[in-house]
Amino acid sequence: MHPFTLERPRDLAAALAFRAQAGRNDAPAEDIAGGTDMVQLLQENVRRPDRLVSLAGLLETASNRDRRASGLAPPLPWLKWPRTRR
Amino acid sequence: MPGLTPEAAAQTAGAAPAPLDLVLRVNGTEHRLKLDPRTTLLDALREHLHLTGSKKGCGLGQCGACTVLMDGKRVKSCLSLAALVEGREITTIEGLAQGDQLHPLQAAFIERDAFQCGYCTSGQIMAGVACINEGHAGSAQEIRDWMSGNLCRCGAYDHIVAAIQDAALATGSVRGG
Repeated sequence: MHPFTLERPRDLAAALAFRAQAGRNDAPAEDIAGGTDMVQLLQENVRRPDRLVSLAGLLETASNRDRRASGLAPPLPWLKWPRTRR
Repeated sequence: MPGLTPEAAAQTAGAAPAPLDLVLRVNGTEHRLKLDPRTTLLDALREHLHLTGSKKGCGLGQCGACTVLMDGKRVKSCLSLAALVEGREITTIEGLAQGDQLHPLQAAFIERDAFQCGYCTSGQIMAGVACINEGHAGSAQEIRDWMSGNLCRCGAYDHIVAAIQDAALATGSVRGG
């Protein structure tokens, strides 16, 4: 796996700043959220970023913020059960 | 190559990046580690914390032998970077029993003889615990559907499904009417 610097921005502005900086330096950057796809691509050297920007914290924050803004409560777990869906 | 540890991979792909200081919370205990940012959660558990219950099978997220719980949800630890799970509660097979008292699904696996070679078993049990907690253990077919991410090359599937059904009943987790 190609060596990379891991960035863990706390908000969207910081994440975009990391990407912009990577562009200026001509250093390849990639985003990673959960990793299910990206980790395989890194392991196989399909992607070789010098900088890896984690979006995991951002996605969680955005999700919670969207729920609050919409006035929705967190999804109820039993809504996912097949019998309920039917 | 998926099977390479980050240290071995570094020898073929250039210098190792600066290590990160991390705090991983595993089975209720905080561990301070200094890790290469390329280290997967599975390698951190096995090579650094010596929790070898989680197995490295394919290293590609296809077999499920490395399944652990992260904040109660199942994840493939071979596809999770350790640095990205800081602050999460990780539960491995070693943290499932309460002292000498096995988790009901562990007991059911023994009762139902739900393994042969045992290599996939820790992943099967962790996925099974999540499957029950998610409410996906209502029928044998439902269990097969929701356990499809965990492979057993010995073919112990019938017994694994039966063990999960037993544990779901024992824990009162079977819902529906």
